[in-house]
Amino acid sequence: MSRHGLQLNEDVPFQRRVWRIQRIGWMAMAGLLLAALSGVFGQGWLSDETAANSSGTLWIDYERFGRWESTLALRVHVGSGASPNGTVRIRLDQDYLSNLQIEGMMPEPDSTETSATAVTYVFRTTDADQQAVITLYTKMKRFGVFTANIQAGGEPPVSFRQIIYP
Amino acid sequence: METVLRATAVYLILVLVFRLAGRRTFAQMTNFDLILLLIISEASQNAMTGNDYSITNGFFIIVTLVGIDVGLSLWKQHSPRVQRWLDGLPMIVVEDGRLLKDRMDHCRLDEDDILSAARERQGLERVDQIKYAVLETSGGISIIPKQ
Repeated sequence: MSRHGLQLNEDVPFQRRVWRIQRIGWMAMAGLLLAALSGVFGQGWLSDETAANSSGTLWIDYERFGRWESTLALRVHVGSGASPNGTVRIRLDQDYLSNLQIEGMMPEPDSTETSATAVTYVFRTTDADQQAVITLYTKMKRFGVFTANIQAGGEPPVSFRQIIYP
Repeated sequence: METVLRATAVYLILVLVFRLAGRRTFAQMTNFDLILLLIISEASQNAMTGNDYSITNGFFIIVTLVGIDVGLSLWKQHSPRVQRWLDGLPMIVVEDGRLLKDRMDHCRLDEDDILSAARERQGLERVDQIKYAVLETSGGISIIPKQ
């Protein structure tokens, strides 16, 4: 401080430390951007995922990563074996549903059945034993890690996990 | 509760990002910097308010932001360590007409920035007329001319 006439609180070693931290911070931010581009924070190829049940009669395209209060699509594919009598019954557990709000469904269900543990959406297919695709638009009302269990009729369930960022 | 946490999170993210970006980021408001600032404010506003457009929510966001600001400035007054980590320290970048290149590079400063500040504030013509140039914590450059 006395090397020059300025009354100035200079600290070069401290400043060098700050510069080093800033460099690290820039690299960290660049890394976060790359991660975001690849979909680690939702909407990208690392986020798009498909889960299927053990018998291959039900498979679901979902997003592994999502964000709080954003809308995620669940595309439910029902194989031909899972629609006896021309009806598809999609069963979602209440634990999973409590984390989200269903903004819409395409197509709309024919009827809905509810219980303490699950909600069942019933759809009619054009013919018996036909494949069907149902898209659910869900808005996440909480953040955290959630496990979904989805079942079609009496077929084995599909289970997947979603990470929702704040 | 959610409002206070949202506003606090946004405040801390902004402090961190701007501290990492360096003090020169918005020191000279060019036209583009102004637009950037507006976009940043828009993005952070949405993150703070969420879907709640009530007066209560707005009130708590304002109180939270002002509260953190006052709290931090009190803490800074109390502790020089906190102050230097949050605000940085002023730094000499020109000494007796000599550019301290290494420091300038780290701060993303070049000779033109210093000459421009010297012309604007002191009416100086050349670097050798500068006794000291100091990069202040605000990001501005102050010039002390040779007598």
